[in-house]
Amino acid sequence: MNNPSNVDFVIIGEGNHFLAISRWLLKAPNATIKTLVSPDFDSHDFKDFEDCEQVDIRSYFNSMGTSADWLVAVNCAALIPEEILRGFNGRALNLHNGPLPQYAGRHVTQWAIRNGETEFASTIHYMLPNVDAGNIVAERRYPVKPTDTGLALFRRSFRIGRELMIDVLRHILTDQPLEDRPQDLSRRHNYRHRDALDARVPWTKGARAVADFLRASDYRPLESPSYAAQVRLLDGRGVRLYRAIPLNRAGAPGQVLEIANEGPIVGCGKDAVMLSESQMENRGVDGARWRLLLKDNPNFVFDG
Amino acid sequence: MNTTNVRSVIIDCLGSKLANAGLQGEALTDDFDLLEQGVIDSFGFIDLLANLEDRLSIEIELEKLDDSVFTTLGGLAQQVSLLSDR
Repeated sequence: MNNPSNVDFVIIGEGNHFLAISRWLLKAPNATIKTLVSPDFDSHDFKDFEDCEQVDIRSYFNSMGTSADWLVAVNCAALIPEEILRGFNGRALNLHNGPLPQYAGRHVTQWAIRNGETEFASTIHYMLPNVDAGNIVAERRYPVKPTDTGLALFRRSFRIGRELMIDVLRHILTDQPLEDRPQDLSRRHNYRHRDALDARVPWTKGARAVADFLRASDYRPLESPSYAAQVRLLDGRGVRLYRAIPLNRAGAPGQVLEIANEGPIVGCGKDAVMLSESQMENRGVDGARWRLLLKDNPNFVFDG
Repeated sequence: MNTTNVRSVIIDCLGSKLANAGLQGEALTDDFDLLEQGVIDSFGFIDLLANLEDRLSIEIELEKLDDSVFTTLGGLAQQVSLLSDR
């Protein structure tokens, strides 16, 4: 193999995976990090990068920053201006934690669970001004487990995405051609932040959909970045719902059919769920507490 | 790895975030809650977990851990220590 020439990079983003990919580039023999761009330069986190130019993301955008052979974005929440992308002549890559074109945009790992997907993917794509719309360079598929919570899938997607980005960078540094597969944009779905804020439980969509809705919003011990699945009691207090077990039992959507030891059994039309993990005021709510909460109205109908 | 060593790794991972909050890692008690005290936010906590996974070469599966103590310094150290010994 010919001795590959040196390749320089601007790398933009934040967080541990951004730093890990940057460290990998730092050690690669024919790579140079020309500029690191981030919203937060914690001196401790960036101590390995003292010899690299470090530029705050707003300054970089305002000054239409330095160019390089490649721009690499990892966990970059900001929209990169078109003028900056143009400076890289198409050599700008982004790590997206969902399969494209079906899962563009925000909170896509939560949507994967809500939509009942059994497989998901991390994707590297060329960046265009239109978010997550550029040609696909690499994709790595992985299973979604029936027990995955929103947080578990989110973390897995980034772990796999980081490995994938390093594989792509290895290709670039050894001068191997990259895949360049156009997206079928007629199949594109761009999930917006505001699309994911409705916390009402979809009782009419069946037991499986309810169970998936609950576990997708489970980021314990952290807060969900979008909606927090919950029901409201008559007095207006909310009960946060985390886990539901589908049951083969019909019941009117949202209606409490019975209160078992673990929690209430609630109708979802042709089937039902048992709300097996819920919390109110930082305490778990078991069947006994549910009975107290619903004592005046044992056949309460939850809003949906 | 024992709990004390994991605790030191956590403090090292938090680095200047503790200093920025005017805190000294070694002086913190085990019940110091990293989220409630504002040292890190949710994203910072996810990042801390990824950092610990890298540093300790383990996979932290949250569903296997006790989340009631997980965001405290001592609770996190203890839970991760148990994982690293499995």
